[in-house]
Amino acid sequence: MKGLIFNLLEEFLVARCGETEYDLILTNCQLITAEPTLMVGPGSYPDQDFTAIIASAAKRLGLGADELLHEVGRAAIPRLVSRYPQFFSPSKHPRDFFASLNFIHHLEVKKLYKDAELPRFRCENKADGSLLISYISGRGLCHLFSGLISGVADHYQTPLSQRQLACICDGQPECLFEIRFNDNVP
Amino acid sequence: MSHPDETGQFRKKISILQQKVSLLETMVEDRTREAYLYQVELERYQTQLEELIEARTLSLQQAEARYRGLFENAIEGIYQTSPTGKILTCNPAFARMLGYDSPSAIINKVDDLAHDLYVNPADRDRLLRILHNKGKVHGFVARLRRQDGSVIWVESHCRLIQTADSAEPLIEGMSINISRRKEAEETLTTEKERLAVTLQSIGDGVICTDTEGRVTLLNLVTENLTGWNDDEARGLPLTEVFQIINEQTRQPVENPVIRVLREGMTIGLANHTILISRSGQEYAIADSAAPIRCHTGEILGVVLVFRDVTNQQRLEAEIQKIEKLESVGVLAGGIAHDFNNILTAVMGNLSLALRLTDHDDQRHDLLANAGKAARRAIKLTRQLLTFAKGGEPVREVAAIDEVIRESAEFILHGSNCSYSFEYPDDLWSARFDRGQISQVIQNLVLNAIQAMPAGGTIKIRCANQEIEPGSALPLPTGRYLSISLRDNGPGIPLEQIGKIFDPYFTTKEAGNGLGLAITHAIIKKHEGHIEAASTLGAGVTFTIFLPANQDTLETKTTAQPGLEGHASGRILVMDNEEAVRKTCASILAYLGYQVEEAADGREAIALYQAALKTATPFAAVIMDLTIPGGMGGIEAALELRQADPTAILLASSGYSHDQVMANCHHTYGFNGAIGKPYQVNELASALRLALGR
Repeated sequence: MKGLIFNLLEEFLVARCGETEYDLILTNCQLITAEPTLMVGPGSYPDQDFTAIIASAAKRLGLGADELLHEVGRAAIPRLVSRYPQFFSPSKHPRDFFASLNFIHHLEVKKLYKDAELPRFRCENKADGSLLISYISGRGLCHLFSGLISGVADHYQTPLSQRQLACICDGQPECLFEIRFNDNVP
Repeated sequence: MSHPDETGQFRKKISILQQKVSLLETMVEDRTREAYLYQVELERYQTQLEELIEARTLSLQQAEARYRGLFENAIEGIYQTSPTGKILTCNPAFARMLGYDSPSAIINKVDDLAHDLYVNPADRDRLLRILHNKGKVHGFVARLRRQDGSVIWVESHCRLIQTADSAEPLIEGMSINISRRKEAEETLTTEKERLAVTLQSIGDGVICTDTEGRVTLLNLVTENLTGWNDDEARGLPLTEVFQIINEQTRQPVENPVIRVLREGMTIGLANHTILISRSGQEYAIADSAAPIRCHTGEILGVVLVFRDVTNQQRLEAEIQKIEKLESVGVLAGGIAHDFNNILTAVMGNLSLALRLTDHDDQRHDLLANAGKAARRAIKLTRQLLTFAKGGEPVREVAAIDEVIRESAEFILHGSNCSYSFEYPDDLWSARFDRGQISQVIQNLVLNAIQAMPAGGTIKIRCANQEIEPGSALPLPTGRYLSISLRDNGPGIPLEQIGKIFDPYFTTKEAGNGLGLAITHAIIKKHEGHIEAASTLGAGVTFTIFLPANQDTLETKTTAQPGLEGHASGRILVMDNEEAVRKTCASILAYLGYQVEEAADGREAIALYQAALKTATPFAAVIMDLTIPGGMGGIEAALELRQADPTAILLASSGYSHDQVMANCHHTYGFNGAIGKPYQVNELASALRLALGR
């Protein structure tokens, strides 16, 4: 997993509970990475370290891991907007943004992080105006993705409701989300 | 002043940041190095790409030149036109096809294809409609007018295309001048029609099949004989349409198509092949089958040619029958001749003995009875001779009423029909063949009997009739005997009356259709005429016209009574049969003549010439016409006539009806004839007549 994700998690936790607490969270983890405080965005680090930090932080914060992941995802969007504003065009609607997810990941992210192992997305506009998004990744971070969906709605100030219809963790081939936009824009 | 812990924290952060910066710098160096390598690789790719573009450009230029060459040098006309009828581009072949010097010439000249090029502008509209509906057209044929006004047939293949520089789709295609092909097609069509008409006009049946033995074509004669018409038969196996069996075994004959395909050569059907029509009718056929080969020699199918030989076979059977009858007739004629010689001795001696015996003598009746028996033998011999004749009629002047009566009574005997016979007393005689005319009367009477199975009346009437110029009858003017025979049966329908004299036309189940045909032939050979008239329900009337005897116009010939007794003069009798000579000599001696005998013509001539030099030459010579192994009467008569033009010569023959006897006066110079056997009075009468006494 790229160091960027670890940095976003670090920034979220430091903002939420301060540097001392973050150090304690790290201390309580059995990490593979020797110097977790030295993780940088372009670097690559073990997925297990991310899972361990989430578990430790959730315990410390008294939250479920899924809930924490959702919050991390939602809080990540403003940070990503400030770092990569070109991917978040002000004229776009969330529907357009979701439609461009594969493009952003597979072309633009690869430019910056050449060895990133990226998830795949598939969007389908339904006749009733809803949008089906499938998230396919071996890491199974569907709750993080769910938080990202909420963060995008916040960014575009477009109210939406989301419902997870299927999950890889349940043995399904993909994690499937149904999104209904409440702004009456088709 | 800062707190020592804060300072420591700050220093720690600084340290972490410095380490991160160091890490990032390392990463940047790595990425920079990678970027350089990428750049080098990219430049290499760019060079390759430029080389590739250059090669591709060259290739495209070559391809363009190649296609341009194809376009410019194509034999077919290639064009692009607008839907409004303007030629946008075309190749030289297109211009040449339409009589223009160059593409630019036709492009500048033609503004409206429909009216400038199309002979029928509606064809262009039709083309556009098809293009509009289907987007493309294959094999569109139309007539176009060339610049010089001549008209050509053109076949076009085109499609609609959308180009970037035109709002409306354009028409792009290719055209070929097919005028020669059209001419060839028309010639072929004419030829096919001619062949079809020829095929339908052929008198034989013709069937064509493919190599699978399925019918591909049949002609009118085949339709009539098989009962299958062309449409029904096409595609059917030959064996279904052309069912043939062996006449004798009734087993199917091998399919001739299979034989031809196996042997690859023309074959003929075996004899006795019968074709069974769809309705079950059977025809005797003769046929042949041959392979149909294309120019490479490959067999494309089989053609069968066959004809109905049913009538021909019947005719051949009839001819065979006639030939058999003729050979039997020759035999019968020989026997009759010998009988006549024998009967001459018997009859002559009997008649002489009868004259030398008194009526009171009991031997008179015995001789008279023997004479009656001999006359019956003579009659039987005559019948044999009648049967022995055939072909050309051997005519003699005779009374026809006797022949009619005898023939009618013979056939009517035992039937439930009656007959009446009327003729005038002065009925003219005629020269006719007794046997043949007897057969005619028998045929007509028999037909009448068969037409009246419940019984009826047959009326026969003879009359003298003079045919005048302008008569409707197909006869020369002159005197004729008319013989009409009328029954009161059901009659013959009008549509059949014209066919009744045709060979093999019959309305009877068991009839062979030859009776009236033979009757017709016999009358024609007598230079006469026969016709039939009928009214349905009122019977049939046959009327025969026979030429009357033009020479004498005698009425019935009546034999002069014999006046035996006191004649005088020397008579020479020539006959190879001693019994005949002796009988004749006895009769002549009885009549008062002096008689010399000769066994053949040579001896007769010698005796006659010797007598000529004496004071008592022969008054007459009676000569047998047929001398086996020696000179006969005809040859001897010629020599005698040369030696003595005034000689009195009398022909005598056992073949009493033969041609020489019939024509002895005119052709061979005889003064008379006497048929064997004869009685005293007949010989006396014939001799007196010849001597002019």
